[in-house]
Amino acid sequence: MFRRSFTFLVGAALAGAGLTAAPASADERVLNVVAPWQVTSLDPADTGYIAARMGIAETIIGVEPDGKLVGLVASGWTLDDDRLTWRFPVRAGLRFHDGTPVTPADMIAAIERARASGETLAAVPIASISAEGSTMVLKTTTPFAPLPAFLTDYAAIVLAPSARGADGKIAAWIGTGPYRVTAIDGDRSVDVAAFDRGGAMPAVRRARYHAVPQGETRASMVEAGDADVAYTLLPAAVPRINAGSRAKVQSITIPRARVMPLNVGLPIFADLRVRQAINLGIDRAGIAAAVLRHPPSAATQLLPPILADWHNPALPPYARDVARARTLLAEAGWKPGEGGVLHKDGAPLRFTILVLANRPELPPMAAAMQAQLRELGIDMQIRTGPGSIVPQAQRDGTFQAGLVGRTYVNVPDPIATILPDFTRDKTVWAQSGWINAEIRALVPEYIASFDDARRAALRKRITEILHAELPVIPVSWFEHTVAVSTRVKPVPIDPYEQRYLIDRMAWAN
Amino acid sequence: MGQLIGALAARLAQLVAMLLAVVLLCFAAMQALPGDKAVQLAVARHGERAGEDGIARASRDGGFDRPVAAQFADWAGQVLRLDLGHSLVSRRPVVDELWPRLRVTLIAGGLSVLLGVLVGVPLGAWAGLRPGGVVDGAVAVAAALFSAVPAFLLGLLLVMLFAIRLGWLPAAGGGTALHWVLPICTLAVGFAAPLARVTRQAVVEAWGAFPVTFGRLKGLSPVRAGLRHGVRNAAIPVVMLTGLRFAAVIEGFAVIETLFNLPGLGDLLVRALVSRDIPTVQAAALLFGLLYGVVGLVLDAACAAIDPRRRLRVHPA
Amino acid sequence: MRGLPLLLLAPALLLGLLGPGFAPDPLRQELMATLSPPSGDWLLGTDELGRSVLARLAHATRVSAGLALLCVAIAWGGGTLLGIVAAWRGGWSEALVLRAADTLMALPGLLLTLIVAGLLGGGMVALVAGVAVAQLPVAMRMSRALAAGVVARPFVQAGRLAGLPVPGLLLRDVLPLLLPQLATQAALSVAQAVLSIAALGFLGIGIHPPTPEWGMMIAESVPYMAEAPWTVLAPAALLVASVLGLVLLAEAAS
Repeated sequence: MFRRSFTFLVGAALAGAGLTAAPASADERVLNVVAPWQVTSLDPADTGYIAARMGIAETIIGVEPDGKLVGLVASGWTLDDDRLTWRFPVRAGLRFHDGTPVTPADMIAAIERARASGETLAAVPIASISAEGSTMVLKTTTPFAPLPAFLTDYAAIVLAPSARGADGKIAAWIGTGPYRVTAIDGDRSVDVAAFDRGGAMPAVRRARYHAVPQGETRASMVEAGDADVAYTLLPAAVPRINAGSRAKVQSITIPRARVMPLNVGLPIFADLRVRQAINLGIDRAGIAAAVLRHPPSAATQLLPPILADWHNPALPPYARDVARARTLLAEAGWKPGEGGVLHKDGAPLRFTILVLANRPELPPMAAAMQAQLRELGIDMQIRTGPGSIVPQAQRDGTFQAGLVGRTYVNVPDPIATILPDFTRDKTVWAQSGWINAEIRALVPEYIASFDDARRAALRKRITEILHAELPVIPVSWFEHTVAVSTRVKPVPIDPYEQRYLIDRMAWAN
Repeated sequence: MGQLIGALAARLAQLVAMLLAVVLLCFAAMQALPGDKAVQLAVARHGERAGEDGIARASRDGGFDRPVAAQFADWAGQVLRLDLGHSLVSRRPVVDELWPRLRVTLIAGGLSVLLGVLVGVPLGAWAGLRPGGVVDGAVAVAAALFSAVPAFLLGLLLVMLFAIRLGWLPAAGGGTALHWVLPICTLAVGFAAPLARVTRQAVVEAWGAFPVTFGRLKGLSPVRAGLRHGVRNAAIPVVMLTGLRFAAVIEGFAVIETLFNLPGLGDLLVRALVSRDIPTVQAAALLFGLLYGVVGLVLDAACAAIDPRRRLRVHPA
Repeated sequence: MRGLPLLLLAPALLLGLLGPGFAPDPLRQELMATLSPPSGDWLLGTDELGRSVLARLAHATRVSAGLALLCVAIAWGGGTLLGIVAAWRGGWSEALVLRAADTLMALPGLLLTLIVAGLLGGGMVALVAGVAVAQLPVAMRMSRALAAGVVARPFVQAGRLAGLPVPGLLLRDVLPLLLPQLATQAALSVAQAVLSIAALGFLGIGIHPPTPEWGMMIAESVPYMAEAPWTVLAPAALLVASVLGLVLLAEAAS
């Protein structure tokens, strides 16, 4: 009785406030997509990945789930014999959601916008960029083999000229993808509807993106049947969701890693033996099983097997070996001291690890590592904080160690992450103070090389160096978990996290 | 009447002075917060992809390298022109960010306070009319228990029961009226419990007080005597608590917003603080101050209306 | 009925005072024995990292209760002092205290806590300071209102006219008369501080893992609630019982 009158009250109040949604008819079923990332702004450099994943906007080049690069806005690409001049023809008949045809000028605008915002595309040595008929011609000053991979960067999604507001900033997402935006509600939801691009329409006609930052809330929504497809679930929620009847979890290991970057410039970490001892002291299998609940996530090297080109099966897998770790520390001159902590020259083997609290599994992982290192006499203090604590400490020079999630496929070639993370004295998210002349020579050579055999050899050597030198200590790979409701057929998962591929999904009945 | 207007004017002047203090404090605090604002803003915008370029751009956008006095002068000038500026994260006008969130907070807060009053006051009054009775005991136990359960725990339990186990209501998110039921109930229960206790106490005291006893001697039935003479006295603490609670609801349910993914003001404030989105923090603080001042004013006016002996005071005690 | 508040507070008191002695290491992990149900080995089972829930609870009780008491001591100590002085001096001092209380109250408590936490660089000190500052205006207003009534009484005014030293007068004659009511309010404030600290722990602000705290223990264990209900129920029950005990205690006293 009470609940009914109350529901009526709420309903009346909300109807008055215009918050109630009209009920959808059966053929207008809405696919509810739930993910943690909020639509904090419409700037493609901030949130272009949401527009790209939802199939609203497309990049010039894209990547298939199997890692193969394909044309999206461009139909493909060719490289002239000078190895500097790249040609990207616009896909024939391609139109924006506002009906205007796509021209090479739109691709150029996207690249220039993304370069102005810095980051990935700013690393490309562009000499000139111009339109020839319906083709974009891009010239680099030096050979840049991974250019097509770099053009999958979401900051460079191609948007219609009408997407710009009066101030020249992007004010709407008017793209070329299979779905067009019908409504954006603050930073919480984006509604899309299938866009007729000629050819067959996708089976899912309508979808809604829900931004739900709280992991536990995402899990509840899946369990309650409010989500059809939910990305990035808490490891602990997976068995619970699978035990219920409303959804099943699909998971794969993706090229993202939870790593412990170190300040190699510090006296304690400058000694490779200490880095090795920490590496040997971490129980990756235990953490993967107990905290992540996904044993295959235990990292045996930096990059996981799904990156077939970069995963190096010849490397000796990382594993726990407490006895060997103790020997290394003793060889490095560390002796048992007060409180069970190792000391050398009166100083304890102690450091602070900055742990990002925005990924809920990281604090318990750090707690597990703390206890494991404690057994070796290493005193690791934990400090958790918002995402900015690591770059903050890197900038003010107080950085000692961190525990962060790092993707190696911002673009489908990990070289785009290896370049900023391992060839500079100071980084934002990775090591600091690690100066390795060999890797600083190998990386530019790799970028300039078009010889497949040579590139394979370079990759092998780069991974060997990182594996042995441990400027960052890989702890686990990422398990990409997707909860799929029983209303939907099993979905394709893109390990590169570029697209949700909603246009390839289908209702179960 | 003239006295009333004078008192009102004094209260308004106080409100303005207080808002000024809130704004100044807030600005000073934001400047004093440790850490590089540009880094925090860049991470808020780009997450794990924030790099050197993004940090440089954030510093430019925020004008963080300019002198503090110049930053404040700009902001104060804007406010005087009734322009709250643009959010550094979304780049949209702060007003456009605040308004939809204010609506969410007011709807959730208002309805939960209403529901709390509808449940708490009758239960408390029922208990208070027969102190020591069965109803009194039951209400006392329930009220004590529910005021001791933290809101986040209660919310989690309600989600488990009604959304996951029974499947009657959605777990989180927005869109339909049903989405509001669980968060509002969570908040309302947390409010109804202390309200029932206060109401019970007020009723016991008022009903035992002289005017009601006198009315009963006049031959009125206990209920009628109470209604005629007791309600006014019992109403004051209930109205006071309701008003205070409303202010608390407005500012304080970041937890509920997080749990149910409601885009309210508390959530905006927390994220703006973390990302050092100074224009948004200041505008939100200004809004909170304003809401608090208005609620206080309404509260005093209501108390004065209920009890003519309380004139509209300049200093609410 | 009279013993109920104490009965409710007893588990927290016992655990907090004696617990850390018999359940020594709240950080020790057994990754092979995660989420074990309560048994002879683990009286309250283990959590997701195979840590003893009982040991963590004992340490958490010290942390939560200690921090809450500290917050209240700071807020009510400072607030009472300011309130009494305001009532005694009247005039602009009183107006200043009241306006300061208004301004503090108008700033959202969460904002205050976050700002103070930020200023002090995070951690427990910041948490205590933030919660204490958020409680300060209530203490200031209440003690001023109560003190105003006492200060107006003939014997205080007589002492004032006789030229007795003011601090002695305020501390010896005024304060004791306020204490019963202030103590009752302060008990409620402890309950509130426990809830605030738990809520902040739930939001991940303030205390850093692996230091156990009630709210954080609950937040960390919520994902495992279906599988291992004891990891949530134990801290939740202790939290609710303690707050309930404090509320009833304050009520019985008033």
